[in-house]
Amino acid sequence: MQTILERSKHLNLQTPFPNYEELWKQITKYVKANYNIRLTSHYLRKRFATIASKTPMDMNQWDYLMGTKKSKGHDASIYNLTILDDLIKDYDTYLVHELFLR
Amino acid sequence: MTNHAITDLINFKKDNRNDYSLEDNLEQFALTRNITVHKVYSSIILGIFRHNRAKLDAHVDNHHRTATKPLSDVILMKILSELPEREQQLLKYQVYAGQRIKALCTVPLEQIDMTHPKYAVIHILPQQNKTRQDHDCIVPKN
Repeated sequence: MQTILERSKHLNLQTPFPNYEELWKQITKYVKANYNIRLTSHYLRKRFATIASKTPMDMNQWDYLMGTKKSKGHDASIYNLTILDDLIKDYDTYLVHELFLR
Repeated sequence: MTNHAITDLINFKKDNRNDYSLEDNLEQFALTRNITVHKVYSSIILGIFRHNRAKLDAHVDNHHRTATKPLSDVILMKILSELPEREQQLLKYQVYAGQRIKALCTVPLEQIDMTHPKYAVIHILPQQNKTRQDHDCIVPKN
């Protein structure tokens, strides 16, 4: 993230990847040509959810990170409070190592 | 499905509520190959009838089974290593964040909080994501 931010600031960009659509088109095209696989950005979201669902991390926490309504419990999006420090701690403990590409 | 103007069919349904031939034809049309395309068209037709107060007694399921097959991390890593640097950064960014690409890539820089020693916290506002949820994403700083 540090590198992305530094580059954006250096180029005076307002957002991290203003040309993300073009970049993803190139990734998809390259992977299709070389691996005969249709890789889109949506796949990485599916990968995130699949990995997160296998960790002990609370489902409401990773649902929240994905921008989805919290789904566990009574009206969880309303009644389930999000404490950022706890979220970062659990992300660090359960999720980040599993998401890491090895 | 028909060589009639759709207005004729809507009027026909309004006049003949107990005639289900339109529903039968539509359900057959929905199962014609290419099924995905025909189901989408069928849903649109159902919507047109419904909004014209001539609701058809038919249901078209548009939840198609996903064809996505999981990629091993070995292949994903190999793909990553072959991409140019900028594309690599984009891919890694999304691997850790989990949010939709548009929200992640178009968030203003001032909404990215770098005060935590290990992680960047990206504040996404309701109007900046598809599900209209006010939330945070976490990405490793390095």
